[in-house]
Amino acid sequence: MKSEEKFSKLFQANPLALTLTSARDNRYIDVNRVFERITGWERDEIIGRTPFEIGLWMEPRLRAQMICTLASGNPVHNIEFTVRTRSGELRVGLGSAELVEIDGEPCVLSVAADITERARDAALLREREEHFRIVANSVPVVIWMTGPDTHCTYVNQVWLDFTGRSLEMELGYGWTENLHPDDAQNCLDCYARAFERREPVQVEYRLRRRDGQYRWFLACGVPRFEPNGTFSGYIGSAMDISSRRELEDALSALSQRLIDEHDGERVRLARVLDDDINQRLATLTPSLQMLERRLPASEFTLRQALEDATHEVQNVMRDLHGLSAGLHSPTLDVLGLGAAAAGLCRQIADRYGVVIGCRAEAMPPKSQLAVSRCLFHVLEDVLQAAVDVGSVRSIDVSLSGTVDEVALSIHVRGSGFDPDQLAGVQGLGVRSLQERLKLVGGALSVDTTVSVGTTVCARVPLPAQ
Amino acid sequence: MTAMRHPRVLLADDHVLVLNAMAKFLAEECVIVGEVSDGLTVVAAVERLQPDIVLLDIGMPQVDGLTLARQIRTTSPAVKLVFLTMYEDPEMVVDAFRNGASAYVLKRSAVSELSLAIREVMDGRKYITPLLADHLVAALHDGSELKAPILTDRQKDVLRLLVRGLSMKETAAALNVSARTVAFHKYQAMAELNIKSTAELIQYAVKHHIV
Repeated sequence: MKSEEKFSKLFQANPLALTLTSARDNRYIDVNRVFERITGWERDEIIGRTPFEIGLWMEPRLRAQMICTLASGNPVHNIEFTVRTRSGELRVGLGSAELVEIDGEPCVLSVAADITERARDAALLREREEHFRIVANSVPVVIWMTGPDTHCTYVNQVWLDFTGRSLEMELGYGWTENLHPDDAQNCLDCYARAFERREPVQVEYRLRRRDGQYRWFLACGVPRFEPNGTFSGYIGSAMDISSRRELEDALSALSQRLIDEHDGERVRLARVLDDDINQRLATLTPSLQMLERRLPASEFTLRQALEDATHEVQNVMRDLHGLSAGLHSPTLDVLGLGAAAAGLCRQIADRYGVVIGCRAEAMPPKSQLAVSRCLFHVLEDVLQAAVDVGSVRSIDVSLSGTVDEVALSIHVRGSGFDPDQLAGVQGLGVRSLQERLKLVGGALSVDTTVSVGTTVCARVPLPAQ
Repeated sequence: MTAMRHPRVLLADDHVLVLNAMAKFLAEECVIVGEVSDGLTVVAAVERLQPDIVLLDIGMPQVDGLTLARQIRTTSPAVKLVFLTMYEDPEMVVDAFRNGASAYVLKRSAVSELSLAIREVMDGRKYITPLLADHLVAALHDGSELKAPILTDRQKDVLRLLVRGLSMKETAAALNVSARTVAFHKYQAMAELNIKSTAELIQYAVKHHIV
């Protein structure tokens, strides 16, 4: 096969649009079938005519520049241009051209790909991104995005205005420079965990404002996926919750004060009942009994009346002591947390017919009264809630101490109860237990599985002595 | 109690009215050698007055009656301790006897019961008010708080090494914990066993084969 024939076959079979034009006068010498399909012009109609004559180039200047470049001995690569087809439709091409010599004549061999759809998609994407930026910058919250590698790829103007830094400074891990040092690690850990599991993330942290003040933010994010399911990072928002936190802190402080006052009042009342009223009553019984002894046997009616009065005083003393012990456990003060917890478990077990196992080891010294009282009240509230609201099979109570902390674990076997039901107990609830624990730097966790049971754990650090 | 001699009784209660009432009631059958309303002076009063019996309240400010019992047991082991208290918890009763009590009577008990308790104690027996019988039986049945002192595995580990003569630091290194943690376990064990010195602790370990 002659080389001319080979060239012609390759020319026609090429999947890209090819044209061969004269470098002298721009007239078409040949075009292939792909060119015909894209432009709508048939080969026979345009051979001998120029692209300018058929109005193909939307910007003829581009074609002229291309010829100049080629004439200066340089090839032309990847220029984007727009053509008008025979039907008037505009299409976008990406082309290259070379100067070749055919039969001694300088010619321009051009090759072009139709990138109309791609260009349209790119324009659409640009438009969408622009819309996104307009929306993202007009909402009063922070908007952020990351890539699949956890690097930040975008924060909106709200963030930039808040931090007073440039977008470039915040990209990647730059944004973490604004985090409060106490919150940074927890924040990054939360994000890392969520990224690993591709789960929604929610985290609170303090962010440094441009004036150096820190404000609390709540950030929420969700994973993004491409249509083919490929993970492409996270998108999320963050809002300033400092006012809410301040309110919560104020509420917490108030709750703690109320709890403290309430406990103090209970102790005071318990002492009045046991240490004052009951002690005074305790002086009555010997007097009554001495009086009874001194009466002659014949005064049996009077003796019986004195005996009845003595019994009544004793009963009142018993009831007052019960009332006092219910308000404040003397065992807690005298013997410590382990013994008081064991006594409480036994009382609840007796009263409600529930099996309660209680184990206590390495209890805090009696000098750690605040810690002991706190955990005792938590135990009291949870046991009461369990017997009040749940179908309880049995309860295991475990108290264990280490050099640094004391842990209380209450496992209630039965139908399990919603922790919110704790709200019914003496007007207290989980929130109240949390506030009570906060008073001594402790924390609470509640885990309920319906039909299995509920486990409540409280941990309190021991202050150094 | 013999008919010839009335027991010498020291009354210790922070409630003066109770002290006076008891003193009057017991005057016919006991010699009241003193009345102390301040917990801090009880031990010294016992040493000075050498009573046969100390009638002791538990709920006293500054030093509670159970702590005083431990101290009196050390300084005056022959003295009998009779608790007269408001506290009805079985845990208190158990701890009272663990600390050397001879009798436990409630303030709401009939005072004649107190006379009985004193006689029983003077005859070398123990006495617990029948008013607490139900509570104690229930607690014994439950068994949770009346069990003998039990050391944790970690406390035993510490004890074993201390018995072998290791110092706190060496014990800490052997167990790969801090010296503070070793001290914590040691003092928890001492509290559980109601032991006041390291020497007593070592003796306990040897006696109970924790070596």
